[in-house]
Amino acid sequence: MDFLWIVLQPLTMILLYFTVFSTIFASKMGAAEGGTAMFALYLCSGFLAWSAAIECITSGANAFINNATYLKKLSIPEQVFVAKESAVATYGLVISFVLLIIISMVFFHFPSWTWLLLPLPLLLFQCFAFGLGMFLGIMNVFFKDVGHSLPILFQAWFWLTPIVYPITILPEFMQDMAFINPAFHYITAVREIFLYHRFPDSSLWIAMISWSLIVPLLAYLVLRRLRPEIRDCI
Amino acid sequence: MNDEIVVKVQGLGKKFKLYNSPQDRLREWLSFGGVVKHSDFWAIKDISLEVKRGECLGIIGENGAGKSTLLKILTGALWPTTGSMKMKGRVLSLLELGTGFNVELTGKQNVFNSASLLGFPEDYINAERMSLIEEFADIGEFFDRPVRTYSSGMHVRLAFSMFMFMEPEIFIIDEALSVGDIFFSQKCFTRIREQMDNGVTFIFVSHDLNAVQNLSSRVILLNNGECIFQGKPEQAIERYSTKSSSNTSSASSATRLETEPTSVIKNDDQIARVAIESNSVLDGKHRHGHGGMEIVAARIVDSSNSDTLAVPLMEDLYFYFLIKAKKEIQNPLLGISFFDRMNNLVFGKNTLQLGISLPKLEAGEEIVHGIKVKMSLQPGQYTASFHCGEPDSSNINPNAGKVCDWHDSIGPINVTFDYSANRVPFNGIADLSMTIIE
Repeated sequence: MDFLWIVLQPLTMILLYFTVFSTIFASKMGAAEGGTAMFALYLCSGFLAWSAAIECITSGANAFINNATYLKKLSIPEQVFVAKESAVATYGLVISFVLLIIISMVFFHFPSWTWLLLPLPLLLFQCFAFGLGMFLGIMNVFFKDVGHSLPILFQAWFWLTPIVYPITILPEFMQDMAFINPAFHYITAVREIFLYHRFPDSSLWIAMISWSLIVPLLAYLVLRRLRPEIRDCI
Repeated sequence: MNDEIVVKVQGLGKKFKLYNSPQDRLREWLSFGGVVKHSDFWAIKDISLEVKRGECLGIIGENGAGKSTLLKILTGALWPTTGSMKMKGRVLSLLELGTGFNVELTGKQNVFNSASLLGFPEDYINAERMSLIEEFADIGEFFDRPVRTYSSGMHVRLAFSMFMFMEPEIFIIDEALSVGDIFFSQKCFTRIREQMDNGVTFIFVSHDLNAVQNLSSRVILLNNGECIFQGKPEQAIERYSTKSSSNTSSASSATRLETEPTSVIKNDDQIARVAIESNSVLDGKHRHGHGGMEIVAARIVDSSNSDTLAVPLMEDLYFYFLIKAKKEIQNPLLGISFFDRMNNLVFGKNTLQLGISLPKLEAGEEIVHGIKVKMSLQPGQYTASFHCGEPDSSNINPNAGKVCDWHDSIGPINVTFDYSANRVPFNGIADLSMTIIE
């Protein structure tokens, strides 16, 4: 039963997007991006990757507070609680991408060998999210406002990232600035592979790998420094 | 018991940083050490101890003495600020009691679940161990029902039973032992002794001094985060009970009362007066009365004239009072009462009931009185209250009177008894006079 719920949520979302964009908005969109189904695929691939990462960050940011009873009494290492949340989010991500691939074939978008690379940007995104979630989780222990401000910040971040719109509609200076947004690289790489069957270029790989290494590493350093105080404060 | 040391703690200290607000913490962080916005609080300081395999170490101390902090550090739930510790083998702590229970699962499933959460291998809970746990918990068919259907008592019994059969190398027990009905707690004590014989090391924290004395082979006494005594249980409890030991007594216990105690004495000796004042057990915190006369100071000593709040069962305690009259008191009376842990009045008596009339007091007069009480009370903790007053002669009720000064919550007074060496002189709360009819 639990599994069914995990499947149903992304499934309805994907089906809805496909229906909406292949019927209602069919006339508006399409031509530029190569068909309505193509736009639904564009939207879904970006959105699924994004929402898994955000779920990972949000639940990571609350991991310590939600497990305060355990932290107060057991000697389980702190990162375990964040890692558990990341694992759950990643599990959902895998399921939703499997669904997306199945549905995309219905719309005549067929797999290629490049798709074997698809797990890489997705998992790198989750690594980045794990690190950021852990860092925010630590801050949340000391400053409860962090937890409250996250949904607001994430909304802004969502609309600043080309997820529901193509980057080309942005003014030029914003297109140039996109590289400072870490989410941009992961989502672009996912689409390069999934939509266009292309190998993402090296600058994307460098950006993704750097973010996915540096953020978890920094989070770990912060954790090592504040570990005793987390347990004092929680 | 062999001599292998399983717990070794050296110079352990724990500092908490106290911030007035989260903003202060942020300011301090952003200044990179430039601004200090917190104050330090040392919950424990410089604790060193060693525990051998199969030993039971008791930890006692008042609330806030640092017992829980020490335990949490030993279990790994808190990180020490200073010092080091080494624990050999698996540590299990009753602090963890029932934390991992999932209310949707049955008792049996929860036992499996919790065992793996606590780091025991998959096959640790075999059929034999499970049946032992089931039998010990004694909750009938509820064992196979979801935990959400349990009463709180069953919940605790299940958690406890599980822990009782986990057999770690080191077992940390805190106050939680006082749960359950008497039969269950007796079962727990028996089981703990069994485990001790099997070489499990215990660290035991409790306010139940009898239990501590009963189980522990050694006791450390904490006061304000510091270990002020380490040694035999009886001595530690005696030190703990002699509350003043931490501040005044070491210097003043040498000042013995010069008077020979009798049942009621009048003594104006200056030395006695000073001794009572400097060793007074009164803190004035729980005090009421109409005034006119007051108990300025009171001192409690044993038969060897040393200040104490611990007394072996059936032995005498001597209470000395320094009384001061603010106005003329025609017929003063003085009384003592004892209350048990449930705050039941166990015994109370005043000089009037004793059939003694104390001499009349002039305004401003000070006087010393002594009362001897044979402590034929069930071993345990008691508080005392002292009062002085005068009977109301205008009232026809012979029990009517006026309280001039009343001090409550004095103590705790511990009546101790070594069950292993002596026969219990009586059963129950108090010893009544009983003889055989010739």
